[in-house]
Formats: sequence, structure tokens, C-alpha cells
Amino acid sequence: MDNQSISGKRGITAASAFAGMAIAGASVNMASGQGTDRVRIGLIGCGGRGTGAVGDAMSADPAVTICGVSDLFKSQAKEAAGRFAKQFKDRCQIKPDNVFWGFDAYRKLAAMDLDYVVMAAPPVFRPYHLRACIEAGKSVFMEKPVAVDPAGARSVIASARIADEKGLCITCGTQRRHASDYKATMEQIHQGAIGELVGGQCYWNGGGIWYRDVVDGMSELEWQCHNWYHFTWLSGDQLVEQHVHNIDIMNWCFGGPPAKFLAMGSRQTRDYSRQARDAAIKLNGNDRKARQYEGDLYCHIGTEMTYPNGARVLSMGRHAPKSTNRVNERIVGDKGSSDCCNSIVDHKGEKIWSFNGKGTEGRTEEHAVLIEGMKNKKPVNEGRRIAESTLTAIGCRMSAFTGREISWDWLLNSSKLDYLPPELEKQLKPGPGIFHEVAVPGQTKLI
Amino acid sequence: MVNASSGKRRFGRQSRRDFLKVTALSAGAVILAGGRLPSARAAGTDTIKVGLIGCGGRGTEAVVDCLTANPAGVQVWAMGDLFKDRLDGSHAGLSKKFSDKARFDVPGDRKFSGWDNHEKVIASGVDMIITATPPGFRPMILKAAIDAGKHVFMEKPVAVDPAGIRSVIESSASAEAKKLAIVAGTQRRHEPVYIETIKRIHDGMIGELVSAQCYWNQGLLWVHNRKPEYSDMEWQVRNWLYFTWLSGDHIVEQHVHNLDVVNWAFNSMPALAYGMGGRAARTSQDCGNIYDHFAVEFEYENRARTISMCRQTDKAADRVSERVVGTKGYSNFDGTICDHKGSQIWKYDGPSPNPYVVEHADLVAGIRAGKPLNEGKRVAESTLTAIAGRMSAYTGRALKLDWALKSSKLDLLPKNLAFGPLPVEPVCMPGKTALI
Repeated sequence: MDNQSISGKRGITAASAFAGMAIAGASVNMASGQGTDRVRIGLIGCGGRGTGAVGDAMSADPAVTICGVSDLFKSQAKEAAGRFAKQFKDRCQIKPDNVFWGFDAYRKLAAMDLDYVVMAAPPVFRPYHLRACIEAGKSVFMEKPVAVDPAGARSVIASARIADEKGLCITCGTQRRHASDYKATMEQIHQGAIGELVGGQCYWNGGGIWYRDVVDGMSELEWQCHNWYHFTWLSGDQLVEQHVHNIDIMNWCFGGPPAKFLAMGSRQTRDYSRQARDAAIKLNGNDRKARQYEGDLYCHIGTEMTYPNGARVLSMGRHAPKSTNRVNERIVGDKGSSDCCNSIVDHKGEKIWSFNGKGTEGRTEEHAVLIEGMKNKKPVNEGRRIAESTLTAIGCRMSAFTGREISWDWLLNSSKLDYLPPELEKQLKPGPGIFHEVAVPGQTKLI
Repeated sequence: MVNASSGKRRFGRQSRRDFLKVTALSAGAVILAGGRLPSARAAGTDTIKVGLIGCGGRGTEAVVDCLTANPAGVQVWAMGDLFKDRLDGSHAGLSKKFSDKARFDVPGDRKFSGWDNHEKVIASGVDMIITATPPGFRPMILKAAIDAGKHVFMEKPVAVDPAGIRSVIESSASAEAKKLAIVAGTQRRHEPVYIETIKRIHDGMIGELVSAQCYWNQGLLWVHNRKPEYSDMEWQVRNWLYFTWLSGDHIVEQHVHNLDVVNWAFNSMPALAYGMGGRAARTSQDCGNIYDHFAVEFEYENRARTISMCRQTDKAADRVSERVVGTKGYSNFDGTICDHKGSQIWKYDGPSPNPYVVEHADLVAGIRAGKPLNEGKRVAESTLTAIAGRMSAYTGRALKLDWALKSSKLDLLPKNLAFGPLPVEPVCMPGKTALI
């Protein structure tokens, strides 16, 4: 199975996530570490990334304790609780009553007495999880992306505003924003080291992604949620789920989202026919739904994003076997160009500036910054920014899926695309799944 | 208003003076004293006899363009097409339009069909050929014409694979040595607004080039449906757009125009192609094995990276244009150059004659003056640019144009050119298609 990942985030099993974590109590670079004040966290979504994020939080500050877990699946929630207890010993304070599972488990976790919640469930649920936690007065660390459609992005923007009003903190999993090398380089760029921004490129072209088989006892919907990557309504497509990282860097350069999107793509290298057939037979006793079970993602999307100052930027997102992979960003100005993370060159290729400082790892920093914000009562709120980057990726996808040129303005204010409206979210329960046809440009309606 | 099949824009009527001014402006054309029309009597030849090879829509129109550009001294002498029905249809239309035998004289025994039609046209006593067959045949026809000492107007693209490109480059060198003209159908090269814009770009008005974008996104084109009496070969050649061995796929067949403009601005081909593409909407078997969209990044020697996009899909966003970005400004080739604050720093204020006609005027003028234009290598490079973009998308691999030109073994022309069975090659894709 090809689990290409430059950031190391994909394909992490629960076991390997634990193996990679710093031992509790080891020296930490940024935490304030004030006395015995504990920082109580809970987890929504006990997969590889979620449990990994708990480990990042543990490394960020010795005061962090994990107090509750929730997941769609009972086995995932219980397993996570068990491993946390083993790994973190007295920094794990999960009582049996605080292990939750089911479609509404997140509400129960949000109701707990916690300082902040770590959320890493499939992206479609993020806006709901965020709103529940903010309304319950909890700060939040949330994984990217934070939505799969404009409706979800708007919800996150609204929740971020509520968080501001309540003095709550929100940080998110775009870890490059907290990496010291990126931060230093971006500062140079924003101070004019490459002059006026006139172009750029960003890529996440990788090999592929897992496809998860049916586990005994799962209903069709539960299996979909388990195999969430392959369904646009759950993941947002690779363009949103993964490429948002690089798109976020472009928005960081320009200080905001693009004005227009022109995209194209298709799906033909994705072939899960064998696995989908197995899933269909296991769930239904026949293979009639095998085609639907392959999912509806595209395998590549190429987009031109035009920023408000007229600069046109290329975005490429792809999963393709045996291909030339590339995961990085490049920004072009009238005085030079940069890789956004450690080097700036002029147009002759001569170095203008290099990062020479100490590299700090973004992933623990995301938590350290949140904790510091809470403790010092200077709340940090990345909610709107990650909603905008997520919506930018969604815009690329929607343009490719429909073949239409789209404006930011329309996306933010007029699109009615909503894969999981509130009435539907409330009713989610084990049973039939939700399937959409693969989009066809020129035919699939732009909603 | 863009015509779907050829990207033709409407051109206003022009005065003869404008026309002459434009002829003088075209790269390589001769400036004429006293503003007279290029004389039919020059370089020792009276009438230039022209043979048409490939009597489809474009070929027929190219003959009209050529005769329009040269009201005297050019005579259509022979015609050839693989298919007799196309030959007859074109002949009937042209005979009607040009009743003067001094301009059009193609009797029955100078009409040729079948697989050797191009050889017969070339051997019929012509001085020059106009060829607009499916691109897969272009290298072979060019070689035959140059070997036989004929001038050439050929449509773009000029090949569909690296083997064809090498052949075209070789033929172009041979044409140079023999003082034969080759003009290719990249008509923007003969369009004053482009010529003047590029001149200023080369003079440094927008500084060092750092990026560019070019697009050919439009709707669907004609489809030639298969009839029961067609062999595989006949169906594919009639429906040539939809088979990579015949058209090169639409990135080569159509988008080469825009890629050529970007190469013109940079004064070179790119170094690297890195692309993606596929069939999102046009997936039926009737539509052969070509893609319906490509998004490619080209990187030039100076490290500038450009966006190339092309698509053939109905009811999707259309765009046909080029844009070049430098350190001091940019141009959309709309007659203006702007700085990075958006202020206009130059505007084109000259005539806009029909470049499809101008290219034929320039061609003939060059022949008459003994200074034949030779666009062969340049259009081969632009065609190679498109081919490299296609190969990158088909295989998922980044590739160097230098490697494609010198080392790629890709050669799509069937070994046996005859009516009969010819299985359709499967649609290419990364993971399945090797980069050869």
C-alpha cells in the first residue's frame, strides 16, 4: 500500500504514532510550564492523526493531561484510551465514563470539563465538532482541512467569531505556519525581499492513499466513515484533504485567498475495483454497488488561482502511481523567488537570503502556542485563516468538478453546496451510506 | 469571438496599404520600394504552381488564404487527398470560387486520391505545396516535398511524436541548404500586434521573464462517426482528431499555437515539462484515445515556470490566450503592456490584417525575393513543447525536452499505412504507460 507522505502524517497507525512520541516529562521548548496547573484535553477522532496530535500536545507542555476520548467506533475509542494509559501513565486521566463512541459521541466529550479539545475526525464533521466545543466554552486544536464545502467553511468562520467573543483559542494543523524556518522566510517575503508578488506554484503530487476494508459488524455508513478518504462528502477530495497545506502557504504569501479559480481534473488512475468489490460482497452479499464503493475522488486537479493583485498561481494536486512526485511551494516576485521555507534567490539564481536559525517542529508548536494563549489570556485564533485556506482548496476542487470558473466572492457568499446539512447530521446512524456520482465537468451543476 | 476549430478571430477589412505595411513588418519579409504589391515577376519565376495535399476544411481554406494574399502569380495546379470524396468536395468549392484558370487549374488528371496522393501531387509539376493532412502524416509529406525541391506551406502541428520532430528538423535543415521556403500555420507569428509586442518584450520593456500562462480551453469539436463500411484505418483517419497517432492529442493539435507564443517570448523551448491530464467528460469510445484536458507546468532554462492549460469540454469555462510576466510588467497580447501596478506602458495602434492571409503573402514574397522564410525548426520546437507536455501527462513523469528530442524512441506512425484493421491504442495513463 502506497502511503506517500512528505509530512509523515499519512498512514500512521496508532502504534507507530505512540512509538514516535516524546516521553512524557522530557524537555520541551515552548511551554510555560507553570507549577502544577494542569491542561486537560480531550480527543475527538482516535485515528492515527488524532492520537498523534495528543502526543504532540504532551510534548508541548508537561502540564497536559488527556482526560477523555471519543470516536465513531467503540473499538477505536477504547483502544486509544488503553494506549494513552500505558504510554502517559499519570498524565492519562481517562475515566471509563469518559470514553465515548457513536455519531453523537463528540457532543458528550464537548460537555466534559476540559481546557481544550483535539479534533481529528473526517473533515466533513469538523464544523460540527468545532461549534459544539466552542459553544461549550472549550478551546480547540483542529486538524486540517476544516470543512469539505462552502457551508462548512462558513460555519467554521462563524465559530471562530464566537471563539473570539468568548476569548477562546483555536489553532489548527497547518504546521508549517508554526515552523521556525517557514516563519522566518515568510517574514522576509512580507518585508519585500522578493518585491511585488507576480506568480507562484504549489504542489502535492504523491503516490496514493489507503483504502480500508469492511470490518465485521460495520454498517454501510460506518464503513464509509472508516474508509472516509475516498468519498468527497467525507474528505473533500485529496485536493482539500492534503493539498490544503500547500495552498495555505500561497495564501500566507499573498495575505489572503485568491479572487478566481480555473481548474481541471479527472479520476482515471484511481482503481479500487478489487477492494470495492470485496467490500460490496462483505456488506451486501453481491457486487452490485462495487462501482459506488470505489468512491468519487478525482486523481488529479490542476488549478490556476488568480490573486487579487492579478498574480496567477499554479496549484497541482495528484495521486498517481509510478509518477514524478512533488510536494512543495514556490513564490515569485519581481525581485526574486523563494521556496517559502528557507531560501530566497534573485532572478539570476544568486542567493539573497538563507534561513540559518534553529529549526523548530511545527506540530508541537501548534499546541504550545494554544496553551500559552490560554494561560496568558492572549487568545490565538487561527480559525478564520484555516477556513479560508480550506475554502480555497474547495474552490479549486469545485472548479475542476464542474469545469466552471469560480470567484472567491461567490464561494464565500453564494454557493449552496452542503454535503452534510444540519438535519442530515442529526440523523446520522448506522445504516445505509451516502454516495455521489463522480463529477463530470460541463455536466455537474455548480451549486 | 473565437472559431472553435481554428481559433480564428474576425478581422476587419483592411486597405491595400495596411496590407503592404503588414507584409513589410512580418519577420523575414522583404521591404518593398514604393509600396507595390509583390511582383509576380521576380527571382526568375513567373507563376508559382501550388499543390494542395489534404483537402479538408483547413487545407481548402489555406488555398483560399494563399490566393487572397497573392491575387496574381499563384496558381493551384494539383490536389490530393487520401479520400476521393474529400478531394471532390474541396475541388468543387475551389473551382466555383476561382473560375480564372490563371489562379485555379486542376483538371481530372491532376486530382489524386489514395495513399500515394502526396507523391503524385509533388511530382505533378508544382513549385510549392500546401499541406493540411492530419499531423501524423506531416513529417513524411514534408520530407517528400523538400527532397523533391518544393517550397512548403504546412499546417501546425508539424508532428505527433519525437521521431516526427527529428524528421521535421532534418527536413528543415535540408530546406535551408536548398533555399526552399517553409512556412507553418502558426499565424500569430505573422500578426502585427504579436510581432510588435514581442519586439518590445525582447527589448526589455517587461524586464526579465519570470512566468507565463497560456490557455486553449474551449468546447467540443466535430466528430466523424464510424460507418459500417469503414475499416479501422479509414475510420481513424477520417476521425483523426481523436487518435493520438494522427492528431497528437489536442494539446499538440490546437494548443501548440499558444505554446509557440510563449516560446517566442522566451526565445527558446522550455527545459522541462511536468503535467497532468485525462478524460473527465469525453470518455466514449467514439472519441478515440485522446484526453480532454491537460494542465502542464513548463520550466525554462532561466528557471521561470509557466502554466499551460487546454481543454475541450462543452459548457465549461473557455479561454484562449497567452500572458507573459516579467520583472517590470506583463502583457496579455491584447495590444497592451502593463507594469505591475496595472498601468499601461505601451499600446499597439496599428492595423490588424488577417494573419492567415499574411502568412501566405510573406511566404510568397520571400520566395520571390530569393530570401525564403524557413519556420521549420521553430515550429518543430513548439510542437515538441506540446508533445512533451502530453507525454508528461500520459506517464505522470516529469521530462526534459532535451531528452525527448534526442533520446525518446516514441514513434506512433503505424508500420503499414493501408486500409484495414488497426486496433486503437489504449488510453494512456500514469502507472500504465511507460515513458519511452
